[in-house]
Formats: sequence, structure tokens, C-alpha cells
Amino acid sequence: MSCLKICGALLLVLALSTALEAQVADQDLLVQLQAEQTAFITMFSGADRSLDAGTVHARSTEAERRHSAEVLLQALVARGLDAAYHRYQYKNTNPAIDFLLRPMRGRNVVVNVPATTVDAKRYIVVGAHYDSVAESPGADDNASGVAAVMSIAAAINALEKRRFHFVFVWFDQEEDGGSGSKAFAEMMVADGRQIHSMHNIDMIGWDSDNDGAVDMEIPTEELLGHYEAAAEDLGIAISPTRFNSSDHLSFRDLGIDSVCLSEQFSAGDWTPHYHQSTDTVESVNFEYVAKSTLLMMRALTALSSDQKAL
Amino acid sequence: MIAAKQQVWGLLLLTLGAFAWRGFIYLALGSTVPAWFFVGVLCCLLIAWLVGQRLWRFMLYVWAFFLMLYGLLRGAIVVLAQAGTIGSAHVVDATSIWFVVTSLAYFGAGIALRSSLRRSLLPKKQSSIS
Repeated sequence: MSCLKICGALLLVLALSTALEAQVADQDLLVQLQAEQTAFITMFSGADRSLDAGTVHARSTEAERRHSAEVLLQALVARGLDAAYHRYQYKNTNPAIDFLLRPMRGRNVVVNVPATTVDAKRYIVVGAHYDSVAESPGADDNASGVAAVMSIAAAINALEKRRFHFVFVWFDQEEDGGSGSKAFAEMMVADGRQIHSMHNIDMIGWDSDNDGAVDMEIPTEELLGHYEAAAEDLGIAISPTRFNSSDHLSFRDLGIDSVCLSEQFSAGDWTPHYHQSTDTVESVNFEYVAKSTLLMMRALTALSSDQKAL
Repeated sequence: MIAAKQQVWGLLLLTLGAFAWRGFIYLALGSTVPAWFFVGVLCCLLIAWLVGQRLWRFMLYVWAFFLMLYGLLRGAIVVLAQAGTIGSAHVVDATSIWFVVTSLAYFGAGIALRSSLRRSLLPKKQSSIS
């Protein structure tokens, strides 16, 4: 009897130490993510990057967006990711404007991470827009999402086993009718690529009540399962919602299951600096960005190894 | 000096060519509005040409008036974009100096077409020798 008790106690200690070890590993990863993302968001939304010193560092005009895409591409290459541009032209948001103005044009930044299994046919697209509105540095909207997708791309690229092809895209012109993501989604469909799902991040830098809760649009039970499991592990509350803006719409409109992760709009906990010149790095909650990144990272890692999802 | 009639044909082909190019570009991008507009204008001009001289001249005047209006409309977009009334970065980018020049060209083409049409209507001068 006492032998059984000792064995039981040992098992309990083992389980506790494993859980503690996992928690410490999570903490280490969070600290690492936070450091990387703080540096990137600071650079991307202003301080270290300049078209003209002393001006607002928006990513709105064609020249600003081109410069931002170059900076982004270099940052991805520096992380060991094989990045390339997807240049596009796209019709205007209103057909009547086609009659007067030239087509919209821009460049998405793309990283392809192929599956490790030879029979993989389906694709998972993960994206965030990198442009901002005029006069806004867009630290929350959406340098936070850009940094998160960069971290997720690096983590997925490091996986030993992937059952899906992953495509990471940093979209241009979300603030101008989402033409970057529309052009990209239509191109993928026209190429005949089978897309399992699209995962978008738009604004994850504001959490004034520090509850860590996020808004998510999750269209299927399968995806919901993976996200809920990851959220439970990380102690994140998910508020289910439906977004009718941002880049996932371009995929949803083509019948593709599309997820969107953002700060808690549904509870009114979203940035008061939205589309303002004050959307600077000072307003960003970096711990929140890192934790939200980890949520999608975990869910996608689980999805990537899920045989049922194929 | 180019004859008024040749000027009319030259301006007509030039301006129609510009709209045909716009229609082609947008058709490739999946937008049919500019192409339908071009086809519509072409049909109207063709019908007018087949029906008779009076309708043909009237249609050319309408086209000249449209070109002036088109140039002015583009000019108004430039003013609104530069004044910050239009929030779209694409509109601001698209209304570059080249856009201003082409808008002026459309407006100028309309005026030139109208004056060429009027000149082609004037009676020819009688020779003093005869």
C-alpha cells in the first residue's frame, strides 16, 4: 500500500514538473517573442526607419509602401526565410473609378514554406497587411500583425514535420479596399491551389484592461477546436465574432474558410489611436502581441500535424 | 497646314484609341465598364456615320463635348485629392503630374475637335483670279 502511495506521489511530482517545465518554456518563448517583436514594431512603425527624417512614418503612398516592402523583405531574409514579392495590378474598388483612374498596383511580400510530406496538396495561408493610412505610423494597425506573422513563419519553418504547404503573406493596400489580398487570393485560386484555410491577423497591440482576451472569427468546428485548445493552454479568452473587413474577407468571398485574430473590438477594448498619427509604438502592449502570436502559432502547429485535417 | 477634316479624323482616332487602351487594360483585370463604354461610343459613331452627315456631325460634337467634360472631371479629382478631401492613398498616388497632363490633353482634344469641326463647316474661299 505504501509502495503504491509512493509511486502515486512520484507520478504526481513528475506530472507537476512536466507542466512546470512547459510553463517555463512558454515563458521563455514569450520573452523571446516579445523582444523580437518590440524591436521590429519599433523599427517598422517609425523610430529607426525614415523616408524623410522628422516626418510621420506612414506606409500609405506608393513610395512609402514600396520602401516598407523592401524593409520587410530584408527583415524576413535576415530571419532565414525565402521571401519574394508578388507584384499585382487590380481593378478599382468601384467600377466607375476604372473609367477615370489607373488600376491599383502594389506588392505583397510572400514566404512559401513547403510541406515536408510528399503527398501534401493543400495550402494554409497566413497573412497580415503591412500598409497604413496616411499620416499614421500604424504601430497597432498593423505593424503588430506584421510582426506576429513573421514570428509564426519562423516557427512553422522550423518545424520538422508539416502536412500542409504554408504561404505567409504580408498584404499591400488593405487600407485601400483590400486589393493586395484580393489579387493574391484570386491568383492562388486561378493557379488551382487547394486552400485549406486562411488565417489573418489585424491589430493585436491594444489591451487596456490587460485581460489578454482576443476577438476571433473562426468559421469551422475543426479550426475552433485547435484554437480553443491553444487558448486554454495559454490562458487566453477568445470572443467569437465576425469581421466584415480586413484581408480574410478576400478569401472568405472565394469560399475559403478564413480566420481573423484581433484585439477585443467586441468588448470595446480597442485602440483609441485607430487611424491616427498617435498610433505609435508607445501605445502597443507587447506582451499581448507576443501572447496572441503564440495562440496562432500553437493552433497552426497543431493543425499542421493533424492527420484528420488533411 | 493640316486640313480641318483630317484634323477631325486624327483627333477622333487618337481619343478613341486612348479609351480603347483603357478598356483593354481593365478587361485584362476583370473590369468590363471601360470596355463597354468604348464599344458603346464606337457603335453610336458607326450608326451616326451610316445614317447621314447631320447625325455624324452631331455625334462628333457630342464626343468633343464629352472629352472636355472628361478632362474637367479628372481635373476636379486632382483638386479634391490634393486638398485632402479624398482619403484614398491610391487616388492621391494616381493623380500625379502625368495624370494632370493627360487630363489637360483630353480637355484640349475636346476643344481642338470642336474648332476643327467648325472650321470644316466654313465655306471655302473663292479664288480672286476666277
